[in-house]
Amino acid sequence: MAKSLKLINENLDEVNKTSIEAREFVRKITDKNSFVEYDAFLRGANLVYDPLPIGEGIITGWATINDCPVYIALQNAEILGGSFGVAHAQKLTRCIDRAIKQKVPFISFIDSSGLRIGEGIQALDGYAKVIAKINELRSVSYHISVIKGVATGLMSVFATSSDFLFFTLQDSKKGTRQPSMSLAAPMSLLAAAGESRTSSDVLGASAYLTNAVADDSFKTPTELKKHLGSLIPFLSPDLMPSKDDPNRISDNLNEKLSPKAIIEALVDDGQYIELYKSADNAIKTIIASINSVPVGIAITSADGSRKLTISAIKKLTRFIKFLDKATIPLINIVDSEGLQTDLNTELSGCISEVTKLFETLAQSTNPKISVIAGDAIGIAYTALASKDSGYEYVVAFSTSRIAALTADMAVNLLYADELNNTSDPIKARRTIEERYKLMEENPFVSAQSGSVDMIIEPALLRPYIASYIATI
Amino acid sequence: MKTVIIILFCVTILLNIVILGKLAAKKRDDNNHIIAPVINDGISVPVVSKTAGQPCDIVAAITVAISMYLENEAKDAGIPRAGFVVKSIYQTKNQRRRG
Repeated sequence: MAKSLKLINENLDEVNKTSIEAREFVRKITDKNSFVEYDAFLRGANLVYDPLPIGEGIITGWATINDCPVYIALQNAEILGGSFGVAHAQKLTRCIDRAIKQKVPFISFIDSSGLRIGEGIQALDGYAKVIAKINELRSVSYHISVIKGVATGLMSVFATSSDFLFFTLQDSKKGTRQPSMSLAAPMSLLAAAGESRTSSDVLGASAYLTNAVADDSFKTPTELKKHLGSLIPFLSPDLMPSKDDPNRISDNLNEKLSPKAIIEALVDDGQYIELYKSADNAIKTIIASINSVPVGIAITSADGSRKLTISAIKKLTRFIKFLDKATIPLINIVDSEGLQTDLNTELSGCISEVTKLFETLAQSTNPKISVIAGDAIGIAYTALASKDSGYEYVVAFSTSRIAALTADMAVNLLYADELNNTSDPIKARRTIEERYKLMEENPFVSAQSGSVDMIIEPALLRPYIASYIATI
Repeated sequence: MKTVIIILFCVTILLNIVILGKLAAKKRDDNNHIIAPVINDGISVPVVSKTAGQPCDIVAAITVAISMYLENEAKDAGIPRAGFVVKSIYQTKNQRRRG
């Protein structure tokens, strides 16, 4: 027995001493003493690399983060640059398989210089295998990928096949290379970008946060752990226990409405996590809980813009898909005059993005609630509040405006002749506008037709929504 | 006769509003607040008004006073403002709901 233990320890020592930094990183982002590694001794059969790479450049195992179980795969650049070979693919696939079976989130930490060329086409097959497997996982659970070092070639496709993509940022004082990601070889891309550009400028976090491919970046493992610890509980089917009174009334909402005030009034303890921060801020997407039930809230005009942009529509579509997979109810807080309409928007694929939004709404089955807090004009009403788009409970504040057109636009379009034929067009315009506001924009008119379920006092928003959610 | 009674009733109501309104106006303090008339024991309603000094303040003060009175009555009766009570899920069934 003693001989057997000695053998295990010798082998473990060999594994551990080659990957000190990587294992330290895993310990920092998981709950204390929760990480359990497996396949530590798995090695490939190739004869190209001598000696055989210990651990195959990837560490796999399970752990808990904020008491939630997760599977973890961490590419280890200390071993052959974390290069992707056949056994590396095998370890990664086996780890994803376990996450699929257990239906728990899978977190990948990417740091791979690319394909292990010496393993040829079999390694390329490995890429196909892990990309197929990760997409299989995404139909039953979640993939969170974190770019920890270099994500080159098809590893970048694996990383972006995720529900959430984060970057870690290295301490620049240490002179270490910042994490970067590219499908093509980074050297050729940097050469094309010009000498003065660094890899972090061109291919780093800032680049992918700007184009909304990445969702967020974190300076330290502690920051990352904190964010993961807040996010992952929402990915489980459990309640989010809170003692905040569901009947809490927020009188300040009757005085002044703002996205911040609405969120604080609505969610438990005023606590929430913002998702897709890097994408268009015209829509703010958050997850929180109301009466202990997890909810997703999309707030339009969060940055004051009155129109929906293409990127805001994309963000909302992605958010609805995520909530649907997690069976989390969606709550739209609507205040928008509709879609941004200009030639550039039209020619840059606006129609297809709006189509995708309606497709997602039609295909998703999670409960959807709409709160018309301000304007719901034109397509903003149809896409964000119409019962026929899937919103099963629609409430409006008495000060909201719900109509096909705003009053001034309607007067211009529908009453141009009437205005031209009057002696006092200013007075006539005012009269017609007032009539339109009363007969068309007025939310009570929408409530009469059943398009709105209830006109509510803003201060009572939380009790009304909490009450409906309790019935779901 | 019936018409006369109705007219008298309306006049009485109007007079009440005017008197209460004047009371409210008198009690307006220097800080642009209106102190609404005391129409029930213990209810004195300070109302922050941006339009203090205009006639509508009087009506606003009365409206708020009445709504506060009703709210107070409702509180006494244990009825919340929304008219319904949401049970806390945390307290009633802290269990898995989704999946």
